Amino acid sequence: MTTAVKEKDKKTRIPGMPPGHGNGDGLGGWGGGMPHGNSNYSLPIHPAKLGLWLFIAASMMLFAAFTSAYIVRSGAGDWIRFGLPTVMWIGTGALILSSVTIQYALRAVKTGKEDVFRKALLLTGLLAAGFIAGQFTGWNSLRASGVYLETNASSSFFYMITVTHFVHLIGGAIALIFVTIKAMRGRYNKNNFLGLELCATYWHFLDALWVYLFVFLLVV
Amino acid sequence: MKTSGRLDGLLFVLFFIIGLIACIWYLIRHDPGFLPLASEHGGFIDNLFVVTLIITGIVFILTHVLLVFFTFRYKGNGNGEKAFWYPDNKKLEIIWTIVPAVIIVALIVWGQVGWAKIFHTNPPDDAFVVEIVGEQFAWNIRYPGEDGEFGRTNPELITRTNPIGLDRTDPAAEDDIVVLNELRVPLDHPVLLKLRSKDVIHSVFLPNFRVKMDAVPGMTTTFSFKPTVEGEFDLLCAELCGLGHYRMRGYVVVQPMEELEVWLSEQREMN
Amino acid sequence: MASEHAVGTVEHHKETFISKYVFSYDHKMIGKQYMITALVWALIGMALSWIMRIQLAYPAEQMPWLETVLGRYAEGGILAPEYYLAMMTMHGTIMVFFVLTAGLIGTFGNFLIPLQIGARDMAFPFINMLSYWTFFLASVIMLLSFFVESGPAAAGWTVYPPLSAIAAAIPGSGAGQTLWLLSIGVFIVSSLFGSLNYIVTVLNMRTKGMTMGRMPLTVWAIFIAAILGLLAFPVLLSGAIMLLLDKNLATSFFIPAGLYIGGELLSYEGGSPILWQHIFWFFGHPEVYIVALPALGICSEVIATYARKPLFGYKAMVASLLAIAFLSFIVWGHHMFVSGMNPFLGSVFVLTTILIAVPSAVKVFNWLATLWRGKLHFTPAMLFAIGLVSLFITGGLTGIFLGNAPIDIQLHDTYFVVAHFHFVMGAAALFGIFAGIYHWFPKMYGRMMNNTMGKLHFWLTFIGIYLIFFPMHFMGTTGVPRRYYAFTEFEYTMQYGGMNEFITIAALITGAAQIIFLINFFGSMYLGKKAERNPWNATSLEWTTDDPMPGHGNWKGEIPMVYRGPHQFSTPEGKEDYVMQSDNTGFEGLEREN
Repeated sequence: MTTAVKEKDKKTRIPGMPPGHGNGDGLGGWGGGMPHGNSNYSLPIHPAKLGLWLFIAASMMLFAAFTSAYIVRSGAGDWIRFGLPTVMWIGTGALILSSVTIQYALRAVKTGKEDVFRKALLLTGLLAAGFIAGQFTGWNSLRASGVYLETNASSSFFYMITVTHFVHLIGGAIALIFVTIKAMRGRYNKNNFLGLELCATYWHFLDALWVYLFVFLLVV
Repeated sequence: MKTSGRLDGLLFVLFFIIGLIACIWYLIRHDPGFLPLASEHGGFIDNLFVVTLIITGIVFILTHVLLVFFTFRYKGNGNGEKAFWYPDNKKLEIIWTIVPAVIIVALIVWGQVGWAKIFHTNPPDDAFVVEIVGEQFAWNIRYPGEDGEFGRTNPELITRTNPIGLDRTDPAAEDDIVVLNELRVPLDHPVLLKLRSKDVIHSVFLPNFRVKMDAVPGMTTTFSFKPTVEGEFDLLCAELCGLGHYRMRGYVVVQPMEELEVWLSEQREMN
Repeated sequence: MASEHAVGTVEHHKETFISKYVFSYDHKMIGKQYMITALVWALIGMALSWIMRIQLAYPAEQMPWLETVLGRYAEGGILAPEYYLAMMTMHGTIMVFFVLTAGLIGTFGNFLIPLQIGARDMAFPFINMLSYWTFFLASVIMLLSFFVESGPAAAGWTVYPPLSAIAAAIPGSGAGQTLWLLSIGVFIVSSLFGSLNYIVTVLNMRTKGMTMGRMPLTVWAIFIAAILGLLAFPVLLSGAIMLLLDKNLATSFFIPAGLYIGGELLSYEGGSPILWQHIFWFFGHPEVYIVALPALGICSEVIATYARKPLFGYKAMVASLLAIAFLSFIVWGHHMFVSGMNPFLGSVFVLTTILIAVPSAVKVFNWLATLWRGKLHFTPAMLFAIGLVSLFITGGLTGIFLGNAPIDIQLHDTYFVVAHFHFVMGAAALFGIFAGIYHWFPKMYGRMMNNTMGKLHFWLTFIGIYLIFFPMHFMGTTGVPRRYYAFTEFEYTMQYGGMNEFITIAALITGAAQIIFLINFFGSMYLGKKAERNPWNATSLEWTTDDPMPGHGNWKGEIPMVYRGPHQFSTPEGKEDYVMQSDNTGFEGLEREN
């Protein structure tokens, strides 16, 4: 009888999640110290992943509200357009690339190429730093040309939206640092990479969100 | 597990009956409590209200009679005695989904007919136009004067004697009349209110005329109606606007056009 | 077995006072923390309403004791108008956010979800602990705003700018409003943590056999409310950020050009006050259902349990919850019929708004059908659930007046609205909380609450609510506006002097009656009769725990398996008048194969 259960559990088990226990999820216990053990009647997705996706959904509502308000507000007569600094283009490029490298790192760890994986992860960190530097340079150059938060509604929206994205990105960067340290210590292998996977998902979200916001700010 | 419940069932019945009697007694004494009606479209709103009151009143009584009767009637003895097994009935559920839906759609359609008359029809060209500019905590009422046009305003020109910042260099502004808190409108003649605000959001509320519209800073809102009763009425603020919200009092005077014109020319001389 | 191993860890885990009662990871303790905090808030909110009611009944009457209590808010024993508005704003804010939102979904979401679906804890216990403590932080910030020099926020709980953004317009819009916005921001983060947990736990942590279609209605309602919260609160956050920037950093999202306030021309440019209203109500209407749905879910479960009948039309009940939730996102404009919004938009919002009446009607009829030919047990929980049905009918029906735009022209921002939302959102949700507490108290504290005191509490509260709020319909029909400091300025509002006095007396008595509840609640924790494992003969999983008051991990042994739907009372084949969800009669031998 008991063996039958175990067989069944194995079949429905989620990769990276030990049966009936949530501690080995690569998140230092964030996924909960309590056993699940009931995967038969659960969604075939790790709780932490689902939680992350829900967080992403909530974030998207926040930015959807910002950009809707932007559209409404830009209809008022006092809207002044200003160009985005060139350095933000470079930053955007870096962020898109970092999304590619983190995906590469994920693929590498899944196929067991741990050496490639670490290099790709470090490269991701470098590109992320590039994006962050790009944002700061961009904000500085705008302020130098007299575009401040309170200058016009367009600049208010610009700073509010980019800074809110940046706050999200800080969260991603902290996760990235955390994951990189663990990677350097050899904590990830082809059987255990949940933390990295979560980090990558969030990083892709940050990237896609930024591309959306960047295009939105350019076009609308 | 034993629970006594005879008293509770009885209390539900008593409370319902006494409450209902009190309610009906109140309604008979006060109608629904409407203020005397003084506008054309207000009749529609009152009728819609009364019909909704009758329909919802019937639903209220029916559902409560059932609720109270069931609580009174179906008391268990608490000994594990079984109730009637009745988990589902598709037909019943479809009925009580569709019937409310039909009634409600009928109410909406009827309501929208009136809504269209109030808002989706342009006021006639000869409508009597008045501008109301709200401020903490008074109403500036402006009449366009003989040219029928309002002059430019500029908030930078606001002073104690020029409360709405009227730009006197504009020819259209010359014959504009600005008074405080006194809204005069012609009897049996369409009126178009243009609402603005100097500071925060106010709401022009003329309860006798069933008129309410927010006065929002930075934009102009409108409401058109036709006064049908001569006399003096209240003008209130219905949107929280600060500590004097409750005493932001204005007056509405409805008088025949000829008398109103005499008053306007008097005001022009005083201005 | 994996679970046995886990049980071991739970038992060997040493609990200190701090880890057990303060930074607890246990969902049950977190639920109780929410409940107690909300209870404290409810008392504060109620005290504020008393002060308002006393002012409305006895305007301009000097009451020296008022100065003793409120200090400079009531110099000379008369409450100042700006502080009346502050009391009103804080009453609304506290009741909506801290009592009805946190108190309902926070308490029962945390306490019930794992117990009812058969899980040992929430999906993310750590985030759950954070959720409570961010809520606590939000509470502290909101409380601090009472002590700033210019007083707490005073522009109404809807904080419409420009009034809320400019301190010259009303003193409360200074530091008080800034703290208000910060507190709500933190509250939103807390609510997000909560929602994440509720949703993931429901989707991922159910025990064997617990399909979605077998979840008790309370879990369904909380699950749907959590989704609403997850999608609606971020929108309020966006508004709060913009308003904070407008207020303190001179941006012009909501504040138009050319404002002349306090004798000065302000330097804002072209913002739109209506934009705030759209953002606020896009959040605000789902918020009503974030509050209401859990209460409706609790009501359904309690009625089925004490009527000893299966919940009539379980599927229809779930469907109507989903329908209400969906519609709640497309009705926000009904708060803005006369705000200067395009009247064509008004027409659209009328349709969607009134449609909500249909699923709501379905709920009422299904409750009635559940009561029909039941064997009713009049416990306090049952009484509060029946009371909820009555309040929900009353408040729901007045919604049909307000949702029909032409009638709303006259009734908007009058006491009719005050009556409407206090019935359908305020009192009904509060009754949901009470029903829930009376029903699950034995599971929370292992003891029974006193029945007689509970009934007395119900009757005083139920009659009191009707005496307070029903007369307000009449005032509203006549056109008495809400948010007035006094009704002394207009003849037609003065005629309600007697009624206002009556309402105030009713409010004071009803409020005082809550002492009965407090004595019963705190007294029963220590002195109540020891509870049995399943004192109500209910069917859901929380009543199968080994102890009446389960410890961390909920079940000592294996988590029971589920074989049937919830609310199986008086089944024709059952021996007793209830069949537990974990009862395997008729499914013997299935447990290992399933």
